[in-house]
Amino acid sequence: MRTVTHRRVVITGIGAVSNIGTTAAATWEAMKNGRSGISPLQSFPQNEDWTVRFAGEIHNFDPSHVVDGREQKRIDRVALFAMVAAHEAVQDCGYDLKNAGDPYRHGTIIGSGIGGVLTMEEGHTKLLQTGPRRVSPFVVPRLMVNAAPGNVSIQFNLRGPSTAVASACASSGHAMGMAMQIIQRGDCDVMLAGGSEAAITPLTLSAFASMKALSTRNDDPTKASRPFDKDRDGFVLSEGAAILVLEELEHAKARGARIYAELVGYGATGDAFHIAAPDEQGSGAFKAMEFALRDAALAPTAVGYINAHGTSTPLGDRAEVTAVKRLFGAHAHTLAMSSTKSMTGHALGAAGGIESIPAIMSIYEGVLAPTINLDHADEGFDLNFVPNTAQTAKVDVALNNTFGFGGHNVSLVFKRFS
Amino acid sequence: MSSQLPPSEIEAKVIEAIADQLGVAKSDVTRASEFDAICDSLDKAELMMEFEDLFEISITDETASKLLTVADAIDLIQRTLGGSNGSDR
Repeated sequence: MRTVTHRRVVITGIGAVSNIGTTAAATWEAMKNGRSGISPLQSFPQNEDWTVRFAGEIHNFDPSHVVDGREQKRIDRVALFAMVAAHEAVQDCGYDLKNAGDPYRHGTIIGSGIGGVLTMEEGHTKLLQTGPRRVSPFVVPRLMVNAAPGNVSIQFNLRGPSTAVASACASSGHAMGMAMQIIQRGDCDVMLAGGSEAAITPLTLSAFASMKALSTRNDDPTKASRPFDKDRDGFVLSEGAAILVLEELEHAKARGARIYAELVGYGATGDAFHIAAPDEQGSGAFKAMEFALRDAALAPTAVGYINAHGTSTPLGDRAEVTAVKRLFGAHAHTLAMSSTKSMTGHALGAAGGIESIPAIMSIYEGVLAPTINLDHADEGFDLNFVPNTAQTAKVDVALNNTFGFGGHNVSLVFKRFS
Repeated sequence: MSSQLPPSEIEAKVIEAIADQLGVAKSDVTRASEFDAICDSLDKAELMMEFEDLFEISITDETASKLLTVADAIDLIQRTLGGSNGSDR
């Protein structure tokens, strides 16, 4: 239970770029309709040596309405995603963040697992081909993992805390949780928080494939991401960004803002077990959810929906289901838990941001996004995974789980605002 | 690239490269344009690489630091291409 009274934090704006929608609204619409964003790879040529020839790429991405052509050349795709998502989130919240209020009360935390790896690979190729004097001076500002918050802070004149979080696939979760705490303790009134990833590159794809982490269902890409299904064979690498406007409650009320939900809990743990494999009992995930609910001063029985980390890997999904069943007991069979990665694939450091949308909207709209491709739930996976078709439900409390290589576990608690 | 380029062509190529790099109209770049006014130090560093590639010359950091205007760059390139070794070194 909390011993300190915190300022309250609400969600007043949402923005996203994903492989199923160029906006948060379009992404949510596609999720409700169970649409897959997975397709044969287009970013670079592949021969038969490649064991994985599909991904969750965003096709025809055009940031021109946010960043002009000259600036685009100076910014990696990962930061451009974040800037476009931030633009939408700020428009959505109806607050002129760039010009209103004290800019030192506005900040940003944006997670990314890998940062500007496309720039790194292209820069390295150039170095090998043409020598050190031909390496672009824009390589560093493009590739650095903090390029996204750096550019977003310039975009909106955010002069409060501005930083990146890199905890692999838990990056967004940490970013949103830490941003919440900054507002709670009084350092800022508005934070842009979320994550971005653009790592569908030759090196990244081949490296994840070497780990045997990826699905190899090349003949049927839209069916490859199948969390909780007994035939799941790994995750599908994808990309995108999502940014939330987190705002102190009185600040939001004073301007008559629309409030989607309240962010009330953040729990974070480390497995201290293996650099890439999950603890089979999901002990770290269990504790992250427990701590998040404790932070929110809520009982497990209050939870109506969990947006699972659910990447579609054999071990990861089992660990998460085990942890949920242990923590929630009989209530695990009452709540619903879906993995929207079944549609979007796994956007690594952006995953938690993108997946905050179905968690928040389960409360705001009363619709649960499905887990598609769930034909035969694995043995012992006897929860309501919202298989294949969206469901309606009155949800007052939703969890958003993200777990990352390195053993990072984050759970966030969203609650109906009242 | 040979040293037979007429001066007017060098000027056109330089201005086109600058406009392209900075994402501005060619008409916005003149011989009198100062690098400090139209771009930052990173743009200027990349522009020097672009000139090196475009005209197959070499521009040292010290030389680059003395190029204040577009005309300075055009003059340097003309001098370099007109010289015997195609280099300012």
